Amino acid sequence: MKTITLGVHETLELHELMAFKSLCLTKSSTMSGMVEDNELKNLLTQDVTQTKNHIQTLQQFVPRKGQ
Amino acid sequence: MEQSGQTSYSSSQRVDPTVLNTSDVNQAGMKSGMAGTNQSGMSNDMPTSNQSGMGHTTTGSNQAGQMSAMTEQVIAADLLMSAKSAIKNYAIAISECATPELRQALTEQLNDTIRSHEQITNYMINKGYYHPVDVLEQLRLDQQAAQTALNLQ
Repeated sequence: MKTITLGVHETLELHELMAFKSLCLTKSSTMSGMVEDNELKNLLTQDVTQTKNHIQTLQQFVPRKGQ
Repeated sequence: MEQSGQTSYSSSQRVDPTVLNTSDVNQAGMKSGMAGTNQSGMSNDMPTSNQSGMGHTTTGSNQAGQMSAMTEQVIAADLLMSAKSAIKNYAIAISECATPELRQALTEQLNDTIRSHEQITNYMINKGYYHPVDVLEQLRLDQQAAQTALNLQ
């Protein structure tokens, strides 16, 4: 991915989103192991896959040190 | 109607098998709860514990009361809340976007989240966990959820 320089406010929003999504991912993957209802389990595992993709996409935008 | 979840039926009220988790497991939980084992005092503190659905559920009875407050209904409600918050957070983030690539990525993720939210909402409505149309019923569930949460520990 090419280097993209983000504005300060964008970077902060990105940070907030990543923190939020990481928490959601942690919760969903933990809960998916505790649930017995298949439909709910599917919703949770689906959420885990989707959230993983989202976080990986967001990570590409995070500025690195010295960049 | 924000609070959809964590509701359970107290003994004085209608017991809906779809709300309480699988009744056989629930009954197992009830027995152990009444015997005072593995429930870490929860059943004693909850006046309606026998049929509360909160203290004695699948997870509660399986994991020796460790996660006794976490019924599947609570988990579903939490998932719905997360989807709702995600939608709001994405909208706020997009409103601060200046980089087209980031705006594009966030917009796609927002749309994914809206779809997930729809699925979770439908699931909860079908299960009777969530009554977006029947406001009074929803408020009744909210009251129970609040009371159950207050009675924990």
